Amino acid sequence: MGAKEEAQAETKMDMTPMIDVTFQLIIFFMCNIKFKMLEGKLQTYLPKDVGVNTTPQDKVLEKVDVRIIRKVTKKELDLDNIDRYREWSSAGGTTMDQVQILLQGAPVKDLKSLQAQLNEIRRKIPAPTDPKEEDSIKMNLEPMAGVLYEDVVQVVDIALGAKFTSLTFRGIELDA
Amino acid sequence: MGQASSALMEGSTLDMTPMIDVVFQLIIFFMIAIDMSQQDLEDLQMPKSVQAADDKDPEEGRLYVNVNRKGDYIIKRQPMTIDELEANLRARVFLPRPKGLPVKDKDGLAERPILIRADRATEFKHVQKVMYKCALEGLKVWKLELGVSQDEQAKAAADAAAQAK
Repeated sequence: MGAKEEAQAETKMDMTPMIDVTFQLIIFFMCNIKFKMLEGKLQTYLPKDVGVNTTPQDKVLEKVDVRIIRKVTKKELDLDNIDRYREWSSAGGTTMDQVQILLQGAPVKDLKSLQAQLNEIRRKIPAPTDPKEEDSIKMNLEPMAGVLYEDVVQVVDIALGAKFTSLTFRGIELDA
Repeated sequence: MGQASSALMEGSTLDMTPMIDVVFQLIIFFMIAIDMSQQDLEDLQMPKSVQAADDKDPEEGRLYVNVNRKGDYIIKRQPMTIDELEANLRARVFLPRPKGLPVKDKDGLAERPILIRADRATEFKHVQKVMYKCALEGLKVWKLELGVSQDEQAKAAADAAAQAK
């Protein structure tokens, strides 16, 4: 009888490590659920008046054309290693050895220079004080074939930083 | 005396079974919740942006389109061609929205926003194709959001520079 009691006592399981592990798992999942949601977005709008020009004739609009060109051909481009196509300068900007930007048709030296030139345009024609008011400067972005999403986001980022809020994309090459 | 002490010891033993049940339920809940909340978000390396707005409170009923670096369009983990994407958007853009939010504006344009999440190495023409489809007759989505990752360091530096001015 005494031996039977002893055997029962030995079969008792220590639950502490399992509870520890399960709580660790809960904490992991709780933390993980929040991490991936910290993303950002760039708000853009497609024109509402496709095919119809509703802009008042008396309103003089300044147009800023920005063309983005990637000098590396598609065959040469290794999409898994795009950083090797760009050199990061000490100032934090990208040197334009693989990406070329034309502002009003003229090549821009680097992203800092683009920023300075856009700020200069903005200084001459200030942004509307009311955010609902239409910006009198329209920026046309024309990403050419081979341009990457990151190249465009960098330019959009600089444009938004210079308070250009009216951005449109041009040059959709659906079969390219 | 010995028997009473033994009975007292037995009475004080904690039954862990319900707690373990609850804990496992919680684990299952979080595992499913993670899957449900992340199935719209493909694992992409998005470009960094300084001007990006926080995406903490996205508009209710927003649609997600993921574009990976090969140019595949992915909705809810389902890869599709650009024409299948168009059909998918047409089927979902004008569905009723939660909290009674408007589906169309007075001009018949879709009020539901679409977030386009693309990899930093995705060719932009693939994103432009989504934009082109959004502008088509019968779809007319005009609220587009470009997914980026926030460059917190650069943003802090830019804010500090602006304050110094």
